[in-house]
Amino acid sequence: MKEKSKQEFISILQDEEFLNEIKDALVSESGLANLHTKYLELGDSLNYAIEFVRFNQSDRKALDQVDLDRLLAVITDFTKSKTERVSRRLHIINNLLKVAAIILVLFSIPIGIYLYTKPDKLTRFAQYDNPKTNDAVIILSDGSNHILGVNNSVIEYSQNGGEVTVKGRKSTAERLDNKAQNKEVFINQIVVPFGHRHTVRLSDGTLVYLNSGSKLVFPAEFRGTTREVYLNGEGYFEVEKNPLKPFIVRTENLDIRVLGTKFNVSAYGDDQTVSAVLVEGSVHIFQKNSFFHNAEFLIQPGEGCFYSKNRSNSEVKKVDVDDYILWKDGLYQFHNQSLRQIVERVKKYYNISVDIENEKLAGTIISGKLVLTDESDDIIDYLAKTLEVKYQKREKSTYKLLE
Amino acid sequence: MDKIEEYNLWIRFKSGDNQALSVLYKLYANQLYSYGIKISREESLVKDCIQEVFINLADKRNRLIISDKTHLYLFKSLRNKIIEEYRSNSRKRNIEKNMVHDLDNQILSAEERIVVSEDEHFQKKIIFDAIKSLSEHQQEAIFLKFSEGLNYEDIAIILDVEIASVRTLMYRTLKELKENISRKGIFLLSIIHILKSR
Repeated sequence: MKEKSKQEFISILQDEEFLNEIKDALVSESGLANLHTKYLELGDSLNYAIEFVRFNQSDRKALDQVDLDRLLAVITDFTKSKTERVSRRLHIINNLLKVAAIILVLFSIPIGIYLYTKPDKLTRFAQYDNPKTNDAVIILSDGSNHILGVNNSVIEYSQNGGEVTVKGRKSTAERLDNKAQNKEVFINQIVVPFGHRHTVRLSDGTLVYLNSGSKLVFPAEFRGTTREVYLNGEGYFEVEKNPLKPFIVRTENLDIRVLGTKFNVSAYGDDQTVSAVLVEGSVHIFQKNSFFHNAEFLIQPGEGCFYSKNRSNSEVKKVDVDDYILWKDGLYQFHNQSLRQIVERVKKYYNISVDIENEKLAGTIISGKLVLTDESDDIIDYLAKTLEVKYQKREKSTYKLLE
Repeated sequence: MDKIEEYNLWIRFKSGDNQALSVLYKLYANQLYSYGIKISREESLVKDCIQEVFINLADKRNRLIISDKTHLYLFKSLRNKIIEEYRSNSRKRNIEKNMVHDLDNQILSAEERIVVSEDEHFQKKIIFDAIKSLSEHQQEAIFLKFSEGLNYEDIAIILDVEIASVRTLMYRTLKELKENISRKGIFLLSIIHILKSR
């Protein structure tokens, strides 16, 4: 091989484009002939380069099928046995932990009265009976009740939680002292009856819109390393960013953990589905149906996590976020939904009973937005007018749509 | 399978999906085998190592960082695994024996092929011999660059060296290859001449 062709050979091998040209040419007999004519002056160097490419293309070994299957079998066996091993170990630990938990609970009942800052107490608090009233109620740090006379009020907590301001839409602001009698007791609650919505700004700046028939339990001031609230019902959260103190929304079935973002949580006690829908940022969701063995989900904006109480598992899917959050602006949005589905949501919001005369009417498909009026009479009237149907009001909060 | 599909596969695998692990295995087993054979000629050792690579992968999936370069980790750990085996004494003698055996084969087949001495076969033979005369490490680099079609950056990740070192290695390898071709070419040509003149 002459010196010149040696140089050419090296430069060919370093030229990606030329190598690709050779690879393409190798596919057919005529391609190779064309390449030779095109680069006639390269002579032997081209031949060596072609052989070099050929060699590297064929320089592959394949495992035979028997080996392929055998190795895969060993690998999958290993992963299976590992999962089993782990879950068996977890099982034992679970049982130990359960025993430990029972002992802890037994001891913690008297202690718990004092240790109100523990997260568990939020849940315990949430289980207490609510005052029977048709108006929204705040339960303050000292245990006293304050009735919110006006729908759509904004309740603001001061930074240390020691003062609460209530603003109605038109009425003047009302200041409430929120000092606890006992230093340790400072758990607050807001109970929103059916047909109402209220907004609360917590002491950390987080804004929570509470939908009809909901209850939020939270400390007046967030001490400790996390910010934890308990929700029964539906809430839209705009969480104030604080990377040092994660914000956790606890519900019966899901815990939603965030650092600062916007999302909607729907967790009504009597609904079959619990959902968390993300508008901004990212949230971590923990499913709580089994003791210590939580499923975890990380969802993206525009996605929702839906937990089914029947099946005890969660599903993450893409959603139209507006369908889930417009209620905070006093609207329900529907996309090609049947009148039956829409009436279900209206019934839930106002806690009323609405019958539909026949299946044909119930199956009417509707898209659009529905304004959530203060009175259920108004929304039924509005719905009937849109559908061009009549309705009857039989007794208090019982309606029937007639074709 | 495109990059995004493969990326999703890795994500699924990391989140505990063992189905995704078998798909990844099927995707890479043969490529890894071809690569492993470059480092050690001992087939059964390479197979064992491939198995170990995937078992380790499953074992450490929580620590795996998923990116569009995650598959390079497979090549890198296969390489480390084989070298580890090389270093352990039990395997050493076997490997040496294997390599000697391989050289014998090459010499025999070389004599057979010369007799054919057609132009194309002649060049093929020269390239084959020129590559086989390179060091194992150089052959490995040739394989990653020209058979796998990887760029210098990816090769550097697998070999766990700087990109500049890969460039140097590749330059030296091509230079030596070129010299081997010249030498073999002259050597073989003279043999053909001798054969023909008889």
